[in-house]
Amino acid sequence: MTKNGWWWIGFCGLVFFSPLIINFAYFPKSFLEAGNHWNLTSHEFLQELNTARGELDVRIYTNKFFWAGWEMLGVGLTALDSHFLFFEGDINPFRSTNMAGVAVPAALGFFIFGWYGMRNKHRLLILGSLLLAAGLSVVYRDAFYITPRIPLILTVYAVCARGFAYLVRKHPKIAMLLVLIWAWQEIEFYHFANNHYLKILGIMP
Amino acid sequence: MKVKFYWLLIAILILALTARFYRISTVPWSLNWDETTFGYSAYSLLLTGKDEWGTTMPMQLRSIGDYKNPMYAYLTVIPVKLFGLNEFAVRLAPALLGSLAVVMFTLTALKFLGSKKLAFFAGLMLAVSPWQLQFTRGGADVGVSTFFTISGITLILFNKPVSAAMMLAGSMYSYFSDKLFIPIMLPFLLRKRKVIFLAVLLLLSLGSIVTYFSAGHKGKIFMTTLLSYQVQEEAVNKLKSGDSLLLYQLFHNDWGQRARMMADRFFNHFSPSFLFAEGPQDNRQKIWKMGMMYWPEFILLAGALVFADRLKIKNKRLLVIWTILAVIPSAITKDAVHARRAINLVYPLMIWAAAAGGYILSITPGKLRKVVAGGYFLIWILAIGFYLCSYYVWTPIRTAKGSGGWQYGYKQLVYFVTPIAGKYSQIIVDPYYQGPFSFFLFYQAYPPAKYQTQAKLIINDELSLGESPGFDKYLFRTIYWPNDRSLKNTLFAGPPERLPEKDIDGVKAKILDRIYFPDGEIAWLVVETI
Repeated sequence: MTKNGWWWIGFCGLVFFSPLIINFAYFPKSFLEAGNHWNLTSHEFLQELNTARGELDVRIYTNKFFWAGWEMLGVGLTALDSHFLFFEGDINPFRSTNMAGVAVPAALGFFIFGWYGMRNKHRLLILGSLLLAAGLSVVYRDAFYITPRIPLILTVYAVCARGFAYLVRKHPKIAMLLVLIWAWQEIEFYHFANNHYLKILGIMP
Repeated sequence: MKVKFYWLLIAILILALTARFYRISTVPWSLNWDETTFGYSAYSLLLTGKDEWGTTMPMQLRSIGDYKNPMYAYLTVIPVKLFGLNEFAVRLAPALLGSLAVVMFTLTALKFLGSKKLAFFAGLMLAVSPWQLQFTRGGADVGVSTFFTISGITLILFNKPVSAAMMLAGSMYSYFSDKLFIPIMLPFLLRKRKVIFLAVLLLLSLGSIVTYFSAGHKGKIFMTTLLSYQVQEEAVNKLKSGDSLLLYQLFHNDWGQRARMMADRFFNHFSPSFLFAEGPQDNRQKIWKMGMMYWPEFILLAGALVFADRLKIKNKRLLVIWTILAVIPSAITKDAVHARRAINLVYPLMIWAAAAGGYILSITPGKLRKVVAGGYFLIWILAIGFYLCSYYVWTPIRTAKGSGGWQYGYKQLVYFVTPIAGKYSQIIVDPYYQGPFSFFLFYQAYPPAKYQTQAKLIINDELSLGESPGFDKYLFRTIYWPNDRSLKNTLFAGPPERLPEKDIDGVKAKILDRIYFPDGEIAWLVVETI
């Protein structure tokens, strides 16, 4: 099979078995909820800024725009955290089971090999896409995790699929091992999602 | 104009010293109980040759039941002798050694990068690194161990096996993480003259190695690492109710959870939120609104990730291994992410960043090079400025409180209570903010020979640190005001939660003083009963 063929298999596998689908199936509305818009006149924002100003007023930092930019940068960068992407996902319990991120942890192995097996130009392109997607996700929303991050999540799946295609062709034994771990974690995830998740949320007795 | 490399080293040293010693006694605003216990152990060693438990020249300090490594206490003996038992004396050794570590690191960077300019750049970044500053300013044993570790690595790279072994042995007596990091790193570091190196290291570290097998150490390892992690009983019951025993063991066994947590923790140390945005949750490690590195360094590390195979680094394999292994001691512990335990990660990250900076400049067209370098320098300075504001003003206010923070208020309490202590038959201090005994011993410079005969520790369970029940007329226990108000001629010190002001009538019991946190909240009430 061609490299592209393996890539498509990997990508479709990650999308179809994405932990997000379970959450979306259970609680579709939680994905459509409006998050908080950035609001430079909100009480919390101004209070924090004014408190900092009261303690030390350095206008180059303690102005609305720098402060908001600093916040956005922080929130944007958290989109790239492995903890969010591969281990626990959204902090909202309705948008993630917290048993997996937007992919199960084994996908991180594919991501690393995907990155490793890429040419520099492609890496630059992917990094640019990731940063752009992460950036876009916070320009409009304040720390609203999953929904605005979908372009970012798809980019991550693409890199993981790239890793899968790379490993299958270059290191089939490692590929086999990672696929087995991935499959095990998917089973573990679906077991948790079907048997325990709703009980832990208190929705099912 | 060519500047000799040693002048650059001197410049870096001066910068590092300035960054570490500027207002060292007052920022962080207070000592925490790790600092006071180390300081008091040093004081005890100075006056009696024994720690506060009466152990002569100890290889581990029982301290508060956490069996600390002793090097920091030994190194603090001379500062305590010279400057007395105070903040400066306690913080001197980590600050001084932390500054020297920057110089040693610059030499390591030179070995890896093969360029004096880039090594200087790496050294410069470390000299003002929030990560390294955090643990070399606030007195921490890691501030001592990091010097020995980086010096040992440097000396190995410069093929000085005996000196390297001595340094690494020093590290083995300094901090727990290094006791794991050094043994796992050595097989990749050693190239030549292995036998002599290992012989010296083993010989010198013997005292430390023996402590690996002591009960105290085992307890510490159990308490800190994921070995003691267990799913909470309530969660276990919920999981068990939905599963057969086989399914439960298959999907929810502790070891599976631990492996997963370990992987999560490992990668957390490379996460942008830890490195650049938020940092760790622990207030003693935290710099408000910042991660452990300046965010412009994100550009360099991202560059290193993109151009990893083109970066001019000698022995890149070793640097990759260092980057991975530096996180292991922290990844196996309970905290989701821990800057102190993973401090050995800051060094390879700086080398990667400097190498990436060099590479990015080298591929930048000649005319733009100065603009790119100048632009980066400007945003870096901007980020450093923010750090200074946060570190010196904003962070202390927000991290001063409580046992998880810098335990602000004890010094003021001891200074208030000590002069009037003679008037009362007993003084009861609530251990609400943890470890009051260590602050009383420290700030009163209580004679160690007297304390050694009274030293006791109450440890509630195997996952807790100990508290002293008291010494002399001081009792350290939880205050229960409805009962305790009947005790006559007693001085109480406790938080408002334990000494409710509305229940203090001003007749039989009187508030003598209120001690405040920096944000204006009451930390301590000092109350006397008649």
